[in-house]
Amino acid sequence: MITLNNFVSLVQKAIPRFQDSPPNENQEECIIHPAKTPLMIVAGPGSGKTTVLVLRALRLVFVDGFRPEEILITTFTRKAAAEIRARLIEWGSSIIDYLQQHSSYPKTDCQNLLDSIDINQFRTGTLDSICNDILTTIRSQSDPVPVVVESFVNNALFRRHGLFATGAHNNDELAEYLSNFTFMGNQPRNFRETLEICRTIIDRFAQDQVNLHQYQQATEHNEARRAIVSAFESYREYMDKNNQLDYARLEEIFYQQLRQGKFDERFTSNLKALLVDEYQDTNPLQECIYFELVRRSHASFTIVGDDDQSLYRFRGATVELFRDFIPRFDQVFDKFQEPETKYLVENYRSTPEIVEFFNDFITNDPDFAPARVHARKPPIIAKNPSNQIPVLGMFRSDRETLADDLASFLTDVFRGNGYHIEVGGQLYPIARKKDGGDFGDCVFLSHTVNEVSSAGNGRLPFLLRQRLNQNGINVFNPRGRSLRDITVVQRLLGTILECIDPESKQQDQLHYLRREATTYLNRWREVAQDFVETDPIPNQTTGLSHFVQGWQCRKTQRLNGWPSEWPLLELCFTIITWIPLLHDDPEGQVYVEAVARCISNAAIVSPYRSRIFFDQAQHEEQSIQSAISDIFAPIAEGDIDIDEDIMPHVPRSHLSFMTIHQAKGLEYPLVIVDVASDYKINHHMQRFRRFPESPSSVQNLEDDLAPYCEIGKLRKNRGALERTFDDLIRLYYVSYSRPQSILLLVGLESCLNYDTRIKHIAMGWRSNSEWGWRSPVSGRNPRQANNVPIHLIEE
Amino acid sequence: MELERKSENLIIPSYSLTGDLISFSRCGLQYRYYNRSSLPPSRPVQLWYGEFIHGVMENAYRIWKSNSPPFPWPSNPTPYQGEPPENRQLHDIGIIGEMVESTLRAGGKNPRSRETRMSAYKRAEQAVNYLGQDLFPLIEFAEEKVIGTRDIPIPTDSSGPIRAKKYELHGVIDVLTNVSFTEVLHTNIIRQAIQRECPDLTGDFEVIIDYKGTKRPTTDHNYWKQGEWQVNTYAWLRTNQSGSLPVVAGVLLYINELVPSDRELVELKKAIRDGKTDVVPGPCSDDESLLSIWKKGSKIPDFSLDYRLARAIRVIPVNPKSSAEAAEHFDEVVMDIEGCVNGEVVAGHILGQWVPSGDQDTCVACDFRYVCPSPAPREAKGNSLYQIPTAP
Repeated sequence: MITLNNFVSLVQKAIPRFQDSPPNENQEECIIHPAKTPLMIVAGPGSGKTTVLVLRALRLVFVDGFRPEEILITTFTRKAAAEIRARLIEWGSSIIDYLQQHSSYPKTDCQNLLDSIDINQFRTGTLDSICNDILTTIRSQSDPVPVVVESFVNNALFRRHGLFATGAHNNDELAEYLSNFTFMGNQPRNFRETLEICRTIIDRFAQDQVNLHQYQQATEHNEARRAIVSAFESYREYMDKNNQLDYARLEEIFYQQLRQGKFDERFTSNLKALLVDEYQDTNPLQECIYFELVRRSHASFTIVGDDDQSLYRFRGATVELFRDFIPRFDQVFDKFQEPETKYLVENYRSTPEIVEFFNDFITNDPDFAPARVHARKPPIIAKNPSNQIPVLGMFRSDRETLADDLASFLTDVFRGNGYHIEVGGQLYPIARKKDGGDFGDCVFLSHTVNEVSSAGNGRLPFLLRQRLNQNGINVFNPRGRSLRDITVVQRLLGTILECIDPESKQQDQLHYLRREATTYLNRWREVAQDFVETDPIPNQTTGLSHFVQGWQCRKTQRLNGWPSEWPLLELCFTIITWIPLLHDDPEGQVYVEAVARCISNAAIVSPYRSRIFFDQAQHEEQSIQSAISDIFAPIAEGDIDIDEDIMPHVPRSHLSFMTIHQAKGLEYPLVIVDVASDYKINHHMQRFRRFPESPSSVQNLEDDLAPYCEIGKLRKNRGALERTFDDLIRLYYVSYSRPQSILLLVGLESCLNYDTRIKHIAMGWRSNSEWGWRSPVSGRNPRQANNVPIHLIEE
Repeated sequence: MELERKSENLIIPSYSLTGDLISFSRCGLQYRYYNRSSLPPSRPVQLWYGEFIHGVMENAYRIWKSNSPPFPWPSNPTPYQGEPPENRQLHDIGIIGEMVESTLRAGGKNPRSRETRMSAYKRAEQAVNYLGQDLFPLIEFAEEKVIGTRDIPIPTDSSGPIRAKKYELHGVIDVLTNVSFTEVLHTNIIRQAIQRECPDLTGDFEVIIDYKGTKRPTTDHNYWKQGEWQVNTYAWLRTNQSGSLPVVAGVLLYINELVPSDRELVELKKAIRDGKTDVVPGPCSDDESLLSIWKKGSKIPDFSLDYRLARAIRVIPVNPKSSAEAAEHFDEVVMDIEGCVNGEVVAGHILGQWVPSGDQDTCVACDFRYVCPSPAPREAKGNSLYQIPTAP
């Protein structure tokens, strides 16, 4: 057995990456902290939280003698879970190899321990994946395997078996109630918005553990509340009967069975340690699960997180659970040891200039201090050396000029001889790494990476893509364009439509289709017709035109006669033969997967199971109509998201565009944050993204549910508008703490004017309307703000 | 100031033995589309059937473990799109199958037709009643997850460095042990089959069981060798788990042999003619006679149970050397996959990086046969390739 005092030195000797840089003092304290004392680690950006989490888990194995299978580690995303697992295996194997090879550790003492350690047996994953795994494995003989269905399917089921089945979709009282949770404060504009809001509410019922009886008793909006609860119960009944679960239900059922002791024998009784990563994004139901696991198992409990980096309130994340972890734990576990808090503040990612900038940013607004885990939370300490480059800014009079200059800057850095900036009279070049440096070392971040604004104008990501493409540089921005707007997808979808429904005969029968859907369906058909006319390859003997004609006439081109039915997926996969980007380009696969997923998921909810039937005219018509309503219309209305995880490797020659949420947990040498390219004027419709005047719809919902759930009171310690500001501060804090060497803020000059009325949290404004980037002057105001903490790159 | 290169995350890719490595071995390009891009097959006939058989056997075992109802178990499936029969017992294969069907249906997987479904129920019924009754008492650990880490060999060609040094390999198996082995009668068919292949079994040991929703492959087919590699690699994974015993054999159960189809019998006759199957009917036996007079399209003969079981059960002896060799074979497969991953990153293209290697059966059912640069020729179509798609 390894002694606690020897563990960190063992790590240093056994694992190559720690030989020159062993864990620092704070990290070591977290690693060797007593197993029995619950531990809350507040880990700032770049402070090595994953390292600490993994080494603490390994210490529990090698020092405390826990077997890996007795240790559960959860985190927020599949990607993060894979990274934790890779480190556990790599580092754990290194320790075992070292102990087997070095006689300084008595072999006989160690051998039994080492023989019993199977490093692959650590339980790691997202909480949902763990719940699913356990519910599947530990079930009674009469229980079928539960099936978790994704949002497209459960939204369709909620629509059909919840809202339609109970008539809630036509309930005026409900529409009035929902106006509290729309962006504009009006009744939902269409059914899609009604569905979205109702979905959020019913997810919150489970996540926030809402007392539905009390919720329905409220006098205000009483009928509406009863209507949505009724729709929720109807949907749940259908889902339960058909063995289908959404993620909220998955956690809820897991929690129920956990409390009933169903997992005691095969899971809980063997659980000795529970380590939770990204705890700041936990919801109340998940907290219940974690606490129940600890209560039943008495497992060693460690949580890691950072309240300043909590981004997922819209999915139910409740940062207050992290901030108030200690009193909440004490309240539930009066006989357990009191948890302790430790801070990780030494940053190994960014330059001192960047660290100073984001430290100043997070403390800029005194009103944010009470929202943090501690009002005097220690600042992050930069451990990397300076590269003399300050935080940079590029602000221009208009988006076009900004796109030109930014593209030019990037081209100089990654394709030219570097870009030179003058700081304090000295020129500093910024250049790619000579040996293999490329655009993969840079990322463009924005609150949204949509290339086109809601008004139809090209946003900075669109203009930048254009400029870079002109320079022969590709970008990777799969979230930037809706699936419905991508040309190759339009060709694919339009060709399928033209095959199954020539002349739009069935489409025209669908009078309930919304205009948005019809517009897109018709546009796709036009794109497809043009495409077919180009006679794409392969076309040696016959071609696409011949294929489409065969379909349109229902005239077989084989020997078997026209079939009685045909899967749409097969038609889809056949047509991509003529679209090389969809079958030969890795990015194209992201789009094909989204379309195929939609067709495949529709088979679960659609009566004709995503097939076209030809045996009777009536079935043919209805199956085509069903396909248009259940597959094509949702894509046309922008309901289908792409899954870029399908493409884990973006070519290094491409510039990646990401939302700030996507960038959570990542780091890049050069990070461009688009803070203000959309803000030419102080437009009221944009204020929610920079300086909100009223609480966001999510905060309104939290307040509405507050009286009927335990978490409500804690959330309301801060007002809804305060929480809205808090979330905006956290969003930009995450973006500013991603870079290693260079942070470049970009936007329009109008936001930098001394007299600007465009207030923006990301640019140093405080919620009380003070602006830290502006100092009072005597005499005439200067043109530009005079206390800007960034170095501006001039035109 | 020179920007650093973005550091790559430590990656230990995770591979399923059947879902990834055997799929890749069947066809690299098809694996790229179905597995790495998660594109669902348009006609998931085999997928539904394979999962149905596995699900029924797993659930039947659970019921047997808790109640031990006597065999044979009744089988009263709900008619296709009809109402369930009344008064069925919990261990009725109709009820077990329905539970499995509900899971598959909830995930969008449905049988191709009424015939496919009824055929699956018939095979499941035979599997439970003729294999299950001898197999279930032997199983010590059901649905055991096995997982291990192995090094990825360094490529010797010039394809460039790959992203990972290690990989994680996982699978799910049923395990029987020497303890359960001695607790069943000598007449137990699984025990007998194992003892025939491994006559000198003594001491502590384990045997691995896996079901296959297919026929018994011919001995010259890739699937024959793959089966051998598969159980040997499972044995390696199992042996590396703490508390496990030495694995001495693997048993593959080819469920289709219990109720062979028309096409399977045609192929069996050919395999016997060519000397490419190891289990043939005894000389002058009824089975031999039934098979020899059977003509394609006529009723499937009532072969003896002994013969069908003999064809369904394949025992593969395992030793440390064979399991090490098999695992090394899959190391090479992983190296090839990782080489393709790397090639795609560098080239920015899929075709040309992922090598198509499907046989005729694989290509006929593949949704991507038309984009494939070298699909297997279609014998019945005069060796024509899949050049340009035509309407159905």
